[in-house]
Amino acid sequence: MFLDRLEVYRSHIAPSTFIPAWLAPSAPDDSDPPTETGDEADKSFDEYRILIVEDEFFVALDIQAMLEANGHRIVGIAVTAEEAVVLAARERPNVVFMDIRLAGARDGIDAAYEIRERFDIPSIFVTANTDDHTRRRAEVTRPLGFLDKPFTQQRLRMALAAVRRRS
Amino acid sequence: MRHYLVATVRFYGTQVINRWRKSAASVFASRPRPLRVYLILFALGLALPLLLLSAFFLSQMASLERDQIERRVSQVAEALTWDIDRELDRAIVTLETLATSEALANADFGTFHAQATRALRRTNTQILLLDLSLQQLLNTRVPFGTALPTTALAEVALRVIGTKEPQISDLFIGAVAKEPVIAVEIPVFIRQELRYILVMSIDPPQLVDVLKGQRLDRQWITAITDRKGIIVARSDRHAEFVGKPVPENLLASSLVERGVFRAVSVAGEPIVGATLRSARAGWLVSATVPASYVDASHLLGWRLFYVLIVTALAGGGSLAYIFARFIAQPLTAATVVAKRLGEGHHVNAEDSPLIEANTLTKALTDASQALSQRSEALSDALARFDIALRGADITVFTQDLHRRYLWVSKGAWDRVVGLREEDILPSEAQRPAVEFKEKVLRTGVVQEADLSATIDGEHRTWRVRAEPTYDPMGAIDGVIGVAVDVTKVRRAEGAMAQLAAIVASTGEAILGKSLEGIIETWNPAAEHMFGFTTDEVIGRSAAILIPDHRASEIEDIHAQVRTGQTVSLETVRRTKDGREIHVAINVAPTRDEAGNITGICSVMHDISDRKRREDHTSFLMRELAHRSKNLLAVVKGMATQTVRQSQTVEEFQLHFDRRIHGLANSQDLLVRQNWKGAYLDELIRAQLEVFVDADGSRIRSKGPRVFLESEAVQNIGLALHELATNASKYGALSNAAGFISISWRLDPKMAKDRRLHLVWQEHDGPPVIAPTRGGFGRMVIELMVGQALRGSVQLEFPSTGVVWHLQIPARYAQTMPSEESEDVQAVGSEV
Repeated sequence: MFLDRLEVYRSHIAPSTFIPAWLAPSAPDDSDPPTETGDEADKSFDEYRILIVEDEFFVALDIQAMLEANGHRIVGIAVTAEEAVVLAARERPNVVFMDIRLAGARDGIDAAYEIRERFDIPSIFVTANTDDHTRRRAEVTRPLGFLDKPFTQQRLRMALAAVRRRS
Repeated sequence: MRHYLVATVRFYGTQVINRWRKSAASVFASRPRPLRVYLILFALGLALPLLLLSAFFLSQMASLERDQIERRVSQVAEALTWDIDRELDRAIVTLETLATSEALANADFGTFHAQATRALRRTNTQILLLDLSLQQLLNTRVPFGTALPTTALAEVALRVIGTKEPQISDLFIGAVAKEPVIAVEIPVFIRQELRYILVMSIDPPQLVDVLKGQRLDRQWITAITDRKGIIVARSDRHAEFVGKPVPENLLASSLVERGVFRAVSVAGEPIVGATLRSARAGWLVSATVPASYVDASHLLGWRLFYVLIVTALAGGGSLAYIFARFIAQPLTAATVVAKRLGEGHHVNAEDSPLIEANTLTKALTDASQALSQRSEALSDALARFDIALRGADITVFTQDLHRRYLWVSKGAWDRVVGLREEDILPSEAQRPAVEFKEKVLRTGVVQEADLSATIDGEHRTWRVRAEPTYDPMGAIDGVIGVAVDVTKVRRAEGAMAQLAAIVASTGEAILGKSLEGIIETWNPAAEHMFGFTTDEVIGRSAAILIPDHRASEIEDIHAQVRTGQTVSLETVRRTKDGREIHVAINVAPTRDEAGNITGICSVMHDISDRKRREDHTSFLMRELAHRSKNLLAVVKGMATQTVRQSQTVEEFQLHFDRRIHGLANSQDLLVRQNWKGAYLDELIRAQLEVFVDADGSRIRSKGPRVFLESEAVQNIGLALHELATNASKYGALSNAAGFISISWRLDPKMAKDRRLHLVWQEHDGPPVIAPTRGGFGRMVIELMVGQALRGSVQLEFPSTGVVWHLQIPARYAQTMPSEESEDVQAVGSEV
C-alpha cells in the first residue's frame, strides 16, 4: 500500500550530494543538551518495529527517515485512528509514533488507548499539541513519552531509549 | 294559671326587691355610717326573722297547750258525768237488789232494815222505805222501830208512783238526817203490785268521793249542781259551798256554753271550765281549772320571747361591736397605709388577722412598689428625655388656640414663649408654618411636614409633627408638636439619592449584604446580570449566586471582609437560569458612623466577554503554536525531501523556495478564512499565479464555487504546486502555446459516497514522454494527496499532455448555497 509505493519513489530519488547539517538524519544535535539517556541511546541501537501514525505527509516521511536512519524498521504509516488500530493488530509493532490530531473523527489518543488496551503496545506521542489538558488525556494511555514537533534526532533517540527500557 | 301567678308574683316581687334595694342604697349612700352600725343592722337583720319565728312557734306551742288543757277540761267533765251516772246507776241497782228481798216481800221490815244496814255499812248512804202514802216505814239512819216522819221530798216519790220508774232528786234537807241529801227512789212491786217506794239517801260527800276519783291536780275543781242550780258536791271546799246556789252568770254560762267556757267561779276567781248534764239525774257536772293555769303556757312563751329578744339584741350588738372592732382595726391600718402611699411614702404593711385587709394592704404594698419603680422609671425616662431633648436637635412645643407659644423644650427658645410664627420666623417661612398649625387647629387631624427657614444665613429644615390638644370639654384648645432639625438628614438624603441613582444606573451589579451574607439591596444591573428580580433575592443568601463547585468561596470572602479587608477577585457566578458567568468582584465592608462593620458590599462586573476573548485568544495562541509547529514540521519534511532530490544548493534553494512559497500561499488563504479553509478557485489562483503570465490566460479553470477544508487546502495546494512546477519544466507551460485546463465538479447531493472530482489537463505542450522514475513531485502528486485526503489519484501521461484526476470525499468540499450552480474561473477565462 502506501509504504510500498513510497519505496518506489524513494528508490528513484537520487542520493543527495548536498545535505545540510540541520537536515542530516544522524547529525549530532548541538542544540540539545547531552543527557544520560541520550548518551545511553547513542551507545547501542536495537532494531524496533515501529508504526507511524501521522496525517501530515511530509512529517510522516521525515519521522520515517529519521527512524530508519537510526536502524529501525517502519511497519506502516497510518493517517487515521482506524488505520492505526488495523496496522497495529496486523504488524504488532514494538512502539507506535502517534500524532494526536489525525484525519477523521477519532484522534491519536483514542487510537493509542485502544492499541494499548488491546495489544499492550505503547505509544510515543508526536504532536504539536502541548497544552496541559491534551497531555492529561494522553497520560491515560501510559505513553512512553512525548515528542514535540518539530523534533531533533537527539529527542528522537531519547524517546527510543524509553522503548528500550520498557523492553 | 299557676305559671301565670308564679310569673306575676316573681315580677312584682322583683320590682319590690329592686325598689327596696334602691331605696336602701340611697339611704346608705346619702350618709355614710360606721362599720358597727352596718354590722348591728346585719345582726338585727339576721335575728329578727329568728325572733319572729320563735314568737310564732312559742305562740303556737302555748295555744296547743291551752287547747290541750281545754280538751282535758272537757274530757274530765265528760268522765265525771259518766262516773256520776254510774254511781247513780249503782245506787239504783242496789235498791233494785234490796227490793227483791224476801223480807220486804213478807213485810218483815226489821229484817229488811238489818239487811239494808248491812249492805250499805261502808257507804255514806241510807235506805228508806216509803209506803204509797209517803210515810217512812224504815230508815237505816235510825234504828228500826224509831218513829219516822213522812218523806221530806214528796214530789219525787209521787213521780215514782206516777211513772213507776226510778227517780233521782235534787239536793234537799232530809227529814231525818236534817242535812242536805239527795235521794234515789225506785218503785217496789210485790206480786206485781206497787207497794212501796225504796229510797236511797245519799250524802253529798259520797259524791265528793266520786268527783275526787279522777285524781286531778289540786288546781282542778269539779262540782255537781242539781237541776235547781244548787251545788250538790264540790271537790274543793265542799262543806263551804254545798247547798249554795251557783251564781247566775256562771250558771248561765254553764247552761248556754257548749264545751269549754271562761267564767268566774263561785269563789270569785276566773276559771276555765266545761259542764255536762247527767243523763241519769239531769245534774250539771262541771270541771274547771283556774284561768291562770290555762294561760300559764302563753305567759311562759311570751316571757321566753322577751328573753330571746333581749338576748339577741344584746348578743348581736355585742358581736357586731366586737367584729366591727376586729374588722375596723386592719382597715384603719390599711387606711393609714393608703394615706402614706398617697403622701408618696414607700409602705410595707404588716399582716393582720383579716385576710381581706391583708389583701388590701398587700395590694397597696405592691402598688407602692410598682409606683416606686414607675416613679424611678419615669424619673429616668424624664432624665433621658431631657438629655435627648438637650442633646438632639428635637424641640417640643405647645401653643394655644391663637398659636402663641406656651412652652418650648429648648432653653434657647424660651424667648419665643408668648410669640407666634409671624413674630419669630422670616417672612418667606411664615405662611407655610402658619397654614400648617392652622390646619391642625381647624381639622383636629395630626399633621406632619417639612418646614424650612433661613436663619442666620443658614437654610435649615425641620420635620414638624403637630397634633391638637383638648380642654376638659373636648374642644381643641391648642397645639402640641415636635420639631426635629433634619437639615443634615435632608442633605444626606440628597446625597443618598444621588448615590442611589448612581447605583441604579451603573452597569455594575451592586449587592448590599448583611454580615451573614443575606442580600439586603440589589440594583437593576444585578437584576440584568443575574436575572433575579429584587423581590426574588432580598432576604436570601448570596450563596444562590455561587456555583456548586465554588460553594466555599463566598464564606472565605465574607470572613475576610468581616475582618475589615477588601477582597478583589475574578471568579464565576451563577445566574438565575443556571448559566455561569465570569465576574470581577470587589467585596468590601460597609461601616456605620462609628466605623463598625455593619454589612458587606459587593460590586460585580461581568467579564464574561473579556474571558471569552481571552479564552479565544488563548485557544488561538495554542492553535497557532500547534499549527506553527506542525507547519515547521511539514517544512522540515519538505526540506528533507527537497534535499534528497537536489544536486546543488542552488537547485535546493530554487525548489525549496517555490514549495515554501506555494505552502505560504495556501497558508495565506487559510489565515484569511480563520484556518477554516479556502475556496478552490482561490487556491488554484494562489498556487499557479507565479507560473503564468500577467493575465493568467494560460490557465483555464471552471467549476462550482467550492470551499475546501483546511486539510484539503494544504495538500491540494502542494499537489497543484508540484503539477505546475512539472508543467513549467516539461509540460504545457514550458512552451509559448501550451495551456492547462482545470475543471472540477461535485457529485449530486443525494449521491452515495459523494465526491469532489478535479481534473488537471495540459494542452498544446511538448509531446509527453512518460517518466521512467519518480521523484518528490510525483510522490506528492500521486501519493500524498490521495493518502492524506482519503481520496484517489490517477496520473496519466498521454502525449498530448499530462492528465491528473483527483477524487476526494465531498466532506472536504462544501458548496455555497447561493453559488452552487454558478461556475467560477480561477485564473483566467482563456489563454
